[in-house]
Amino acid sequence: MNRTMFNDITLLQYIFIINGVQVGIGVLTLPRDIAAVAQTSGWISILIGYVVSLIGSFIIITVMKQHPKDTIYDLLVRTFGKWIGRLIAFVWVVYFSIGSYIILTTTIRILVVWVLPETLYFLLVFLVLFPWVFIARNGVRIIGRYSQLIFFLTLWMPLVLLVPLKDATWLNLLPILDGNWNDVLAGVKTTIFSFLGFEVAFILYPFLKDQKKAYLGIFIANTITCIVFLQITITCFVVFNLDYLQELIWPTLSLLKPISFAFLERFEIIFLSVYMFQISTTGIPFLLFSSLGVTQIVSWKDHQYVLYVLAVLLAITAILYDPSHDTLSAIGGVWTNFGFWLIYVFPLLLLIIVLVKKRLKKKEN
Amino acid sequence: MVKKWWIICCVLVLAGCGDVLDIEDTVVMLVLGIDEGKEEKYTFYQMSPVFSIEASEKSQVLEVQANSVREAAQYFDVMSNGSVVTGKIQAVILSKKLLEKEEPLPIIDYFYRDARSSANAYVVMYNGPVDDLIRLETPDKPRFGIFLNNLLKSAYQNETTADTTLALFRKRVEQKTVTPYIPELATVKDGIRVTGIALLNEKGTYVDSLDIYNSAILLILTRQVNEPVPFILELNDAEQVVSMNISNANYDYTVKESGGTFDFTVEISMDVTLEEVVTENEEAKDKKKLTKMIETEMEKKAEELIKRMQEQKIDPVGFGLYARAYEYEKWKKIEDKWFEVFSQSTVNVKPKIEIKDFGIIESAKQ
Repeated sequence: MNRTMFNDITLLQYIFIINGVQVGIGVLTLPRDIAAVAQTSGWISILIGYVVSLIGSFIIITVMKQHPKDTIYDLLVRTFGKWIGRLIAFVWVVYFSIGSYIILTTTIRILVVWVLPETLYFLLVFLVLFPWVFIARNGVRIIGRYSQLIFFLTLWMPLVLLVPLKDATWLNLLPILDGNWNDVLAGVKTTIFSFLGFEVAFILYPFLKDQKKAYLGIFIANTITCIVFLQITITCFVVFNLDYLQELIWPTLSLLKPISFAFLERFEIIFLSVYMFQISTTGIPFLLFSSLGVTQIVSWKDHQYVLYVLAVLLAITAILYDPSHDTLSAIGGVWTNFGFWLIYVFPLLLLIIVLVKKRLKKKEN
Repeated sequence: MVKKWWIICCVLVLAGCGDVLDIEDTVVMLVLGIDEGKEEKYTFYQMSPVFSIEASEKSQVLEVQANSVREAAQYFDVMSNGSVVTGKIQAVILSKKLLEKEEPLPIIDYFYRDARSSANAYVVMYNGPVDDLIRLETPDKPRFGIFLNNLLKSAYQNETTADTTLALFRKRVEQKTVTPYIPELATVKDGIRVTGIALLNEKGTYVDSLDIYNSAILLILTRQVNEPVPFILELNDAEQVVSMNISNANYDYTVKESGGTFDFTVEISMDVTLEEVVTENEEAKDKKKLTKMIETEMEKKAEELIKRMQEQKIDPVGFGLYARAYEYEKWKKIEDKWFEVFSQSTVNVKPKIEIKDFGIIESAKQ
């Protein structure tokens, strides 16, 4: 297979794609979701969620290591045969497509509420989707470069989040571990979902140039994500307090709302506009990977036409069905639950099957 | 092919231009006043600048009866020569009469729900009918909205009143550990005066007023010593005073749970710079004795203030925060009736003063 020949990615690109997929729309709502279940020690839930996601990541890499030239789609066909393999591959395609639909509609919903309340909805769909398609059609390497670029372009954002700390009440973090591990564990359930995104390693692994460093790469990606989550959650906890935090739908943006300059009243718009790039580093890979999956299932050579068809379908769905905020978060909830099985449980089964098959093959020889 | 796509992209970017709104066609609400009204409604006043050259006045005031900010804005809309923009609001003035009867948060919900509105507008209480304040002629001052904003900002910087923006106000109301407080205004002969801090209960209705001296003590207790806080020590009678600035406060709060209530000890160590020594009193000229006197006076004032708050069942200092942080298990049980419990608490304030500086002249010795 020479598919990965001109499309291989460096370790850094691999790290930034995974990190980019993990850090997306979740960051805007995460502090509130944690505060609702985990009380003052919610940030400990993030650390535990981080460890869980590391274990999940390492399982995925271990699976992929068995056949280093395969993406998940190849591996499924190789392991389960042509038809069952394609069926499971289709499940993954559905997962990625619904993911890109959710990210697209959430992006637009946020834009409508915060920035452009009177702009026509379908125009926003095109505005967001066009650049996505432009980047996605060029394949994995371009996505890697894009994610890397966006990572460095958004490095100033954590610094801006230090500004609201002038109103911080650090006592809000006490008591640490109020003797109630149930709250913390309930919080872990939320944070595990926010760390989802490392599953793209299923696709990225064969493209990685230096595959020996795959473990290291996914470790670094998860660590960066963890630091981002921790910073935002702790900032929200100390600036707002648990009672108030649970009232805010997008606490991260409310955090920035009081920042203003004489020439710029609403700083959060600037932040949000740049953050749209960060969100796109979740949406674009999902879009590409679902089109790669379809290409594999129908065994075509070029993914571009599939991508265009998918994008048009996505646009039509987004325009025809414009869900309310509540419905959208309900869909998101179902999707992440589905993702949990696909990303934590499925790889474990796959690993066992792949290893057993390999063992059997060796015996035959 | 690629070129065509780019053209389409560029055209799409123009989509935002549909929202265009010329400034000449807007009425920018700078100040919103809310007072009690007739027939279960509230009276809303809005002040907005006039940009037209032909108009002789530089700002206009509109008055309507409505139930909410959104409804009022609709009435303002049909009364003015453009669409009313609420996002640039500088101050929300609530009258004392209104705050005595109503919870303010539901009335101004609009400002919190709309992402476009500013979070930095000040919330203040006016001691009198808002009508007087908003129609006040201030020919020697800048536009009223800007003037009010500057007045409050500098009062906060001089540590004579609290800093209460819309965002901070809601945060304090929603907190289970703190009761809200906002700056209080009054009109005097030469214009407007900040008279101190108005204390509200946990729902946001008016309870008590603090003058600027007590306000300064509240600011010290709430850890808001960002700039030097003025403090005046009265000896014997009001004519003999030692005034000083307090800075660099360090706090040590200890909480003890005893028999269903919480006891607090607050140790505050502060640096003092003398500003003025107007007295014949010999004791006041001795550094050690003066230190002792200031400490005693401050302890007395602070404990009186806290007593006063306890009697009203309010907790603007946020003692609840310390109770929650250090005695969580016990706090959890009384969480919902904290202000009740607080009124039974014993609070000891132990100020520790170090006189850093006498200024450039020696206190006159005999």
